[in-house]
Amino acid sequence: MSKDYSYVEFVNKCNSLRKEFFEERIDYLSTQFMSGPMGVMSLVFAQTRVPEVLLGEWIRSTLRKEEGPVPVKYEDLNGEVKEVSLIHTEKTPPEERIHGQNPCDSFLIDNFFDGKDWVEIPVKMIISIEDNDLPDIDFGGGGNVLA
Amino acid sequence: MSIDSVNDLSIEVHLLKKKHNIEEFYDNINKLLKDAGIEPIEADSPKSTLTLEDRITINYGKKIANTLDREEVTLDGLDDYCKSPEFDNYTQNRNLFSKRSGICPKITLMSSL
Repeated sequence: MSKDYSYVEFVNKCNSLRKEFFEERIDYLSTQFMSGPMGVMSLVFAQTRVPEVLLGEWIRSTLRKEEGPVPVKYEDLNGEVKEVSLIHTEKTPPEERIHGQNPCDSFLIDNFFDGKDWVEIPVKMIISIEDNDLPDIDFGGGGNVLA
Repeated sequence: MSIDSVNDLSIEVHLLKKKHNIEEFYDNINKLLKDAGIEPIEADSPKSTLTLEDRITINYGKKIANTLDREEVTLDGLDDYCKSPEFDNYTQNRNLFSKRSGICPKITLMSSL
């Protein structure tokens, strides 16, 4: 089977594509947030949905603390950079969904409120969030770009 | 190569799947598993982060659990299994499967032996 099918090569190529994809987006807030000096744990951690869920929850808690809207810049699924102003809401968000076909191209799409509608944002594609608390966060100088 | 968006990444992964005949590969893996009396593995899913080896190992575990007529595999259960005549067949099946698939399922029985 391993002679007939290059499955290992397929997995390696997929991983390389994802690595390359995030290397080009190393300065994104999400990449900084999900990286860090965690060593081997970061690789295990990155392969779960936990970092994305955590970032989504962190954004929600940030919105809760702010009185006004918080500008968020992100790249949508088509590569277009968008800017939205998000606010806190007590409404229940629509259920999050996962975009992709396997772990290598999977992205958690979370929902945030802009005051009128729910905005679907691929959490890993968040570029920046304008908030005064941000400079206090030590991202540890980056780390695992597979996150 | 520059990938300009999430959707581009998905397209590249899809093309790689086609190029490497991954679906056919899974079909053949499942034929082997069926021959060995093991439940077929699930196809790739963005919700699952299990590797192919992990998926096979889990289903292998299910077979052992079924053989032992238990809901789950425990070390005591594995000890019983290793001391039973069925273990010889299991070893033969495992070696046969490993040889044919080129994949060695990550089931370590050493700790219970």
